[in-house]
Amino acid sequence: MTKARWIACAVLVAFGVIRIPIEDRLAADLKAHQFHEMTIPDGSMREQLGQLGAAAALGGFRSFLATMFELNAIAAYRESDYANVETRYQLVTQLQPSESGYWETAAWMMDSNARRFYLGMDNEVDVKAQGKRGLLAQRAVERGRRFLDDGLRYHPGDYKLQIALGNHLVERQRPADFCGAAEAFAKAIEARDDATLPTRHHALNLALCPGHEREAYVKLRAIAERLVRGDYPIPLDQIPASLILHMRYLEEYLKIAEDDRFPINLDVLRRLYARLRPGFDPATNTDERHAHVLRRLEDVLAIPEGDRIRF
Amino acid sequence: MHNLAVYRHFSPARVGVLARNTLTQLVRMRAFYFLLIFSVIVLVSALLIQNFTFDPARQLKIMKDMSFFAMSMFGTIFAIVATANLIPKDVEDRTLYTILAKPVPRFEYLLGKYLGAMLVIVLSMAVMMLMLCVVLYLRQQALLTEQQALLDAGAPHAEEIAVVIDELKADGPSTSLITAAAAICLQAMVLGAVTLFVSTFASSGLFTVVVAFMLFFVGYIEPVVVDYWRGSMESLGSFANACIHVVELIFPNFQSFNLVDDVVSGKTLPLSLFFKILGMGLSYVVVYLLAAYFIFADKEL
Repeated sequence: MTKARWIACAVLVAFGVIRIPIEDRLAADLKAHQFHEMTIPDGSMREQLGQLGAAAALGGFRSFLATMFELNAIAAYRESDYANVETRYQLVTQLQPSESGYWETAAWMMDSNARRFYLGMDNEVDVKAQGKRGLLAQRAVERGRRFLDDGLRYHPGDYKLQIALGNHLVERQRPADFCGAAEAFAKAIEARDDATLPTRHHALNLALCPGHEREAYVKLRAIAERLVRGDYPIPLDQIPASLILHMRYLEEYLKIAEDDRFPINLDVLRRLYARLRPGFDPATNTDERHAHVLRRLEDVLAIPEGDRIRF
Repeated sequence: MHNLAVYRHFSPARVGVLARNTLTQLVRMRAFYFLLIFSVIVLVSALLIQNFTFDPARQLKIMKDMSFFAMSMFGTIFAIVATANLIPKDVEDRTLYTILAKPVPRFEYLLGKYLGAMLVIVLSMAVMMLMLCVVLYLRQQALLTEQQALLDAGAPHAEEIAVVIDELKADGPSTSLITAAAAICLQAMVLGAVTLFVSTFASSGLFTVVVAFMLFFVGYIEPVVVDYWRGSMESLGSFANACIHVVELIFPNFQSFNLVDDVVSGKTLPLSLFFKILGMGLSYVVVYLLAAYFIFADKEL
């Protein structure tokens, strides 16, 4: 080797010695700003990505690969191939866990779309297959929940993920967890300034959470007061029926004096009961919140014992 | 007759002439045709991909992902292939001998050639970034108008629409995207300097291209792998530790310039940190050009 080549090598080695500690500090700074939070793809991920995909994931194309796999997942969803939807979203969320939207979509795909698809396959009479469908639907719901939990580990204060969790706990989980849902909606309220929707859901779920009746009443009443006396006041009979129902139920439960009660038009509740009652079958109902609403409607409207639904 | 002493001093004008010449040479090789492909990618992602996703904000992300992928690919491939052929092509055309027969110092020749190639990358990146920002802005405005119309029509779930509007507003063109594009550019410049260094001692253009791609690949995954190994240093033993240090010492760390993934997902890089990355990139360029010069200066032509 010539002298010039030795000099060139010496320059590069000297530069290496100087730059490594600087690069280590730079890497630490980047990590402190939530940059470069990548990990080496694990065995199953490597298998699904292929060697080239795994290399591309390490080589700065994670976001692009996540996008491509999501498009792949959507193609699978269009063909109702939910096994593939799940594996694709597993990859997408592993490739880019920092994108909260992926977790939310993955959970929605499984606990809503996949569940509906599996339960909707009822054109066969095979009891075994029916049972399998139920299991598949249950598994899809569990998978959706896992996506939500994993997503919330990365984004504990994410508005959309907390709302999705709140809805999941009430609409998918059996028995429904109203207290957990109220907590999830409370976290969503913290994430956004004008969170009217989660504020209402938080109060409504709190109304069904044992031991929180007084707190729920105060919150429901505050919402109702805001609706009739806020910047855009609405007439009393336009307050959402669910709000009125839980408020009246809690007023009776908490024995609030007649004079202190919120003025309520019971006709709104009578109309609601007349609308919900005919289509309700306790044997086939899967919506616990629906059952709670009907039970409370019967209490508030003082439906005679003989006419009540036998839950 | 010119005074030869004048040519011993570094002349930015001579470097400029060489750079301009290299730029013209590369333009004649239709290097800018890639911009046509890029515009197709941006338009396709803007117009067709919208049918593949449910989330309006995700449409913008897809556009950004595809565009940055194209920019990275262009930057990487161009930096390697164009720089690898700079010296071999001049040798083949005999231009190198004509230039060096004149009083042009070899360092100026190398620098001029390098800057010419990098100028193509910088100009292309600027045009691509401009195209992306314009299409991204137009698509963002179209989506915002759609969502606003839904709100005005009194659609249910007004609050969810308001959330989407907020996300759309945050996903448009931003300075973060410019820093990501600048980081891609910087990476290409470092890669160009590394490739030029390899080409000074390579036996053929093909050898340079292959070695440069290997260096790039290793330089990209090495920091992640070293980070992983460091977690299990004790179990690896001192020999393995020494090997890891040697790898770290030899291979350039390209991971420092990888900002796209995080920027696209909405993270913002502080300017101070960007300047540190810029400083690091420029140091790589200076050192590798210097090393290339030491070998090229000693080369018998």
